[in-house]
Order: sequence, then C-alpha cells, then structure tokens
Amino acid sequence: MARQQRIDLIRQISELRGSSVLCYITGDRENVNTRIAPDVTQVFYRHLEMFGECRQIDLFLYTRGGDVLTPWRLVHLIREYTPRFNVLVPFRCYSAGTLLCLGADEIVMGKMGELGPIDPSVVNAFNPQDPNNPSARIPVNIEDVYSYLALAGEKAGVCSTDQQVKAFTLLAERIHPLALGNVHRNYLLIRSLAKKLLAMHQQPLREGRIEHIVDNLTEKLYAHNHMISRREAADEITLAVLLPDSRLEPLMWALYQDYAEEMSLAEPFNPAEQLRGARSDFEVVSGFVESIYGVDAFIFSGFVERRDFPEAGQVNVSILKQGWRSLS
Amino acid sequence: MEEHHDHGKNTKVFFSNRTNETKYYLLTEGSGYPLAEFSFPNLSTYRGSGMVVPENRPKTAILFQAPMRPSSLRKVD
Repeated sequence: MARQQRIDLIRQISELRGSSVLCYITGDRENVNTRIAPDVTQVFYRHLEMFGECRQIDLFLYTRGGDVLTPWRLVHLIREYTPRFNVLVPFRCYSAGTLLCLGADEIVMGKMGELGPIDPSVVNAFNPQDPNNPSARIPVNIEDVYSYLALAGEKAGVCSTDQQVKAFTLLAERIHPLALGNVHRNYLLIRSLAKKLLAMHQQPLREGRIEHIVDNLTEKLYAHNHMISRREAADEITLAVLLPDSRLEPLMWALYQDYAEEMSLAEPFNPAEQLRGARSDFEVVSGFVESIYGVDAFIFSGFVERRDFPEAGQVNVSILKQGWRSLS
Repeated sequence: MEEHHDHGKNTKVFFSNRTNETKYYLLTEGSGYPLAEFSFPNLSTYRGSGMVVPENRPKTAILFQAPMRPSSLRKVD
C-alpha cells in the first residue's frame, strides 16, 4: 500500500482513539534488520514537533528490541508533548520494545500482540570470542550469569563463602572480569529503568505491583524468547493492557501488514536478486517512523557486484550508507 | 474421464520445528543491524563499535518432497 493508504489507516486509528498516532517500525527482514537505537530520537523529535501539545499520543510499535537506554529517552521525549502516552502493539514488541511499553499508561494489544522479557544481553570487547567465528563476540545474557550463581548456590550445595568464591572464580576464568562487571551494571540498570518507567504513569502504580512486574519481566520468565501474549501480560504480569475493540483491532493489523509488505519482512534480503549485469546499486528500506505529518525511513544503500573468484557466481555486497532519511 | 494423481504416495513430509540458523550481524550504535558478511567500506562513519555478534532466529517447518516419478501420473480417457 502507498503512504496515502497508510495515512487513512493512521487517521482512522487516531479518530477512534482520540489520539495523535506515531508509528515506529524496526524491520526484522533477514540480512537487513533495524533495531531501537539512539539515532531515532531526533526522528521522533521531528514528528513530535509537528504534533505539538497533545491530549494523548499513541505509539504504534513493531520491534524485536535494541538498545536498553533508548526507550527511556524516547518515553521522556514523548511525554514532553502529552500527559498521556500509550503503545499500540499489533504483533512483536520484544525486549527494548517491552521496556518502552512500561513507560506507557496503556498497552493496547491485539490478538497477535506479543511482548517479551527485558533481560538484556551485553556485549563489548571483553566478551568471549565465538569459537565458530573468531571475529564475533558472544553476547552474555545477564540472567544466565545470575542463574549460574543461583544454580551453584541452590543446587550444587555451594554454601560456604569459600565455595561461592570458587564458583565465581570459575565463571571469571571463562568470562573476562570486565565483561562480568558490565553484566552486573546492566543487571542493576534494567531493573532501575523498568521501575522508573513504570513510575511515570499518569495513574501511579503501587509499589508491590511495580516489583511484581519487574521481577516477572527480568528473571521469572526463564527464557529470553518467551512470547508474552496479551492475556499473560494482563493477568499474570499485571501490565496495563487494553484489548482493542472490533473496530480498532482490524485497523491495527492492517497497518502492521502494510508495513510488513512494504518492507518485505517475510522474505530475506537476497542481494543476488538485485544484480543486473556485473554491478547494481540498491536501496532497501528497513524501518519507518511515520505520522500523518511525515514519514522517515531507515535505508541501507550500496551496491552488489559479481565476483567470479574464487568460485563462479559469487556476489559481493557493499553497504555504503545506512541511516534515517526524511521522505516527506 | 478421470485423472489420477499418485503424487501423494511419493511425498514425504518432514517437519522440524525450531531449526535454528545462526547468522552474524554487525552491531553499531545506530539503528542499522545488517548481515556482517556484507562489506562496509565507510564503517568509520557509523560511529559504532562495529561489533559482530551471532543471532539465532528460530525457523519453523521444513517441507521435504520426494521427486515424482512420471509413471505415477495416469490419465484415463
């Protein structure tokens, strides 16, 4: 669908909700993903300035996650323009996307809506090397580290201080101490961020409920790819979930499907298909920030060229540029 | 006039859920998260660590179909 059809859907959602709607899609098309990251903050600012002061802002969000700190910044920025902020979740809204939802007064989840745990993995130059690819670093999941220590303490009968030190030393021999330090900082950070975001609601949550939500989203789901349905989000985790009515739900899904088709999310980006002759330039859109006032796209641009050495039929893909671009 | 298609007998379907494929992606400070196998001649302009990380995305079914033998198609006039 073209932008005009999306504008119609956004306008219908906006009228039903009595809100200003901002769409943020980080595409997960294989080979050309995008993720939540700080460079989108300025893009949000451009749209919010066009909104001006609002009674209510709805963020229509699809993401597999990203940077841990960006949700905090985005929620603060959005709340500069409105006292009431909500997130519309048509499908995936994992990890940093779920963290962003914690800063919302309401999370409107369709039947296909999915949240995810907010247990981050951290990676820096001190992380272990991937034995299958030495140029790669293996992200360390913070809950895995604390689960190991809990396992050593609870199950392996490691009770004395000496034994606990030994268990920790064993870990530090496998993972660089500075990587472990990074893990601990992020362990504290994610809990702090989650609590502060939940405390931003227009209707404050009671203390016990905040703790319950944070505990469930950080350590009590036990798998980072646990997909949280709207029922679980509402009933078990006690998030402020709202179910869209029969008019809103199909609009949300239609808007998501439009973005999914526009970015070909279901098909891997296959550079060889782009090749015409010995070399071809390409541009591929992998993310959107869109409102009725304008649209920004995250675009990878580069070229693909045929390389018949060392094997015939190989292609080489070069990404020359990647970034947000205002299209209107 | 009947047509008989026996291709069902020659089809084997094998479902393997959650067949994971590990790919390596380039993590920068920006929103882009592309395949690390691509070349990045201007990487220094991305202000990022350029860290390569593995990513596992679960895949779902694999459909295996044995090739049909020509004699399995029969047309009766």
